[in-house]
Amino acid sequence: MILSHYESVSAVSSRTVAQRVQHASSDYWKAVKFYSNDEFDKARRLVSAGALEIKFIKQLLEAETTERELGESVFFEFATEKDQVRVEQISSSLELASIEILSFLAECKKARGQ
Amino acid sequence: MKLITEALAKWQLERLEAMCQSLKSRAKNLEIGRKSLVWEHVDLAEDAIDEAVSALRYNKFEQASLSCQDGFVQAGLAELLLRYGAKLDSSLSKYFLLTTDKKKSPNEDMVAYLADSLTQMKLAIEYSNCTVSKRSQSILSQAMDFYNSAIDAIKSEADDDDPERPLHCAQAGLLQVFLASEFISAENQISLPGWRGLSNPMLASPIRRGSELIALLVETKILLRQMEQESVAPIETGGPADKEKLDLFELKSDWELSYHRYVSALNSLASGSTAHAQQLIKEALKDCRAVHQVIADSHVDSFPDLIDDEEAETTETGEKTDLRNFSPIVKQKQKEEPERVAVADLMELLGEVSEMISHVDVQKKTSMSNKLRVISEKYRDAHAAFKQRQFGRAERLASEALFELDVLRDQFKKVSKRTTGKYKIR
Repeated sequence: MILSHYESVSAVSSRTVAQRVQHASSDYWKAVKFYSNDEFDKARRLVSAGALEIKFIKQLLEAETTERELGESVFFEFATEKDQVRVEQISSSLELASIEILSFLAECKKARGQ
Repeated sequence: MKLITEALAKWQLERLEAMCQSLKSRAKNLEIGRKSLVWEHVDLAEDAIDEAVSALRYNKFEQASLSCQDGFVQAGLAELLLRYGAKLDSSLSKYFLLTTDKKKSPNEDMVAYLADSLTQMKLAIEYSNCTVSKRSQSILSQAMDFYNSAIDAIKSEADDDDPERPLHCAQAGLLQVFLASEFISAENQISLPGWRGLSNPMLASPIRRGSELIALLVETKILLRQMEQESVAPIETGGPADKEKLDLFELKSDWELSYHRYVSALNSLASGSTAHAQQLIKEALKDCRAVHQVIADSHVDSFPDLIDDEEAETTETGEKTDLRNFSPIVKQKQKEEPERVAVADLMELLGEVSEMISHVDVQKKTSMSNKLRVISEKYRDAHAAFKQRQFGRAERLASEALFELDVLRDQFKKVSKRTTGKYKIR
């Protein structure tokens, strides 16, 4: 079971693995709920997605185990930015772009006036 | 009839209680992960027992019987985990990866292949201890987002209209993994250990020449970087070198535009518009080839020397060398906020925004990405008009770019408010 494997290394695993385990677990319980309500197609879809997730988690866990055995403890993460940080970055970048175009526009006006 | 219903409900309740007791005692010796899962099912079964007891107290026998049936489902699943737990993993995977007609589903195959590639890439990066640039990191994040979209599409009922959506999302993700691998290899000048690349059939369809565009994008970007790095001469504003600087700036802008088109193509592919994706790839190839051709036709030494934005901070004078002399506000702002120095080039800045925006849900992502492309095109044309001293045209185009940017900012504000916490970085 993937959970048994994960429990023993949860403290030293990457965030990528932790998040995937969380999602797979959530999907499992949703599937159980649908199954209880006789919504078998929905349950089957969730289990199908869950089976893929489990395979991916297994591969990630194996990769990280190998890395740990080689003495590596900091893992490459597929994404490091926090949600809010990303929103702020986009907003500030758009603002900066706006300032840039405005200043270019001012230059154009100035050049036309000369 | 009422007596039968009552007897049935009571009998079911007794059976369920006995099952829970038995499950609890047998689950004690299981390994920790499986034990916690069995216990969670037993807890749910016991909740059903509580509901049934309450229903019986008010003589609602049918309700009690229904609650017991819910409990049996949970207890049954716990029993399944207890008896066959270790074997379930492989057998369930095999069972659910088969479609009803007993053939392997191309959707799930492709999603599994994307997961394989992501793992391989993670391993290759870790084994080689190479440097992953911000752009490559962002490309890999996008690949992961496409994987998430593919998984969501498998789960979602709404995608019955587009049964190939998981396949297309996975293909878009695979192209991003391929692009990241090419960038990382080129930036570090190494072959990634253990990275086998992608097999041809995965790259060839459904957007033809995607892999050709990726190779060209990477090669052109590396050539542009080399040109920047090889340059050492100081920059004098107002001289003939300024024209050449602007030429290089335009080449970089055109490259960014090709890249925008490529990202838009992937988003279109993931949302099912294969024809639109194909068209964008074709346009991007044309633009990128033109940039590549200009570089190939020109001798590297004939280009002006240019210091990289990030490197500019460490020059002896401590002055940042800007490509343009018409951005006093930005220069001032950069002096005040040194962390923004790296984004002085507007085209590159818009490229970064496009990448970050790609983490928003697909429809908005496509619309905003298209808007960014329009802004880039207008700004580039305005720039060209300014260079040709067509100041009126430059002003008009810059005004249009500014208007589009304002619309985009408003749109983004609305999206970020509406979807707080929805910026998925999984």
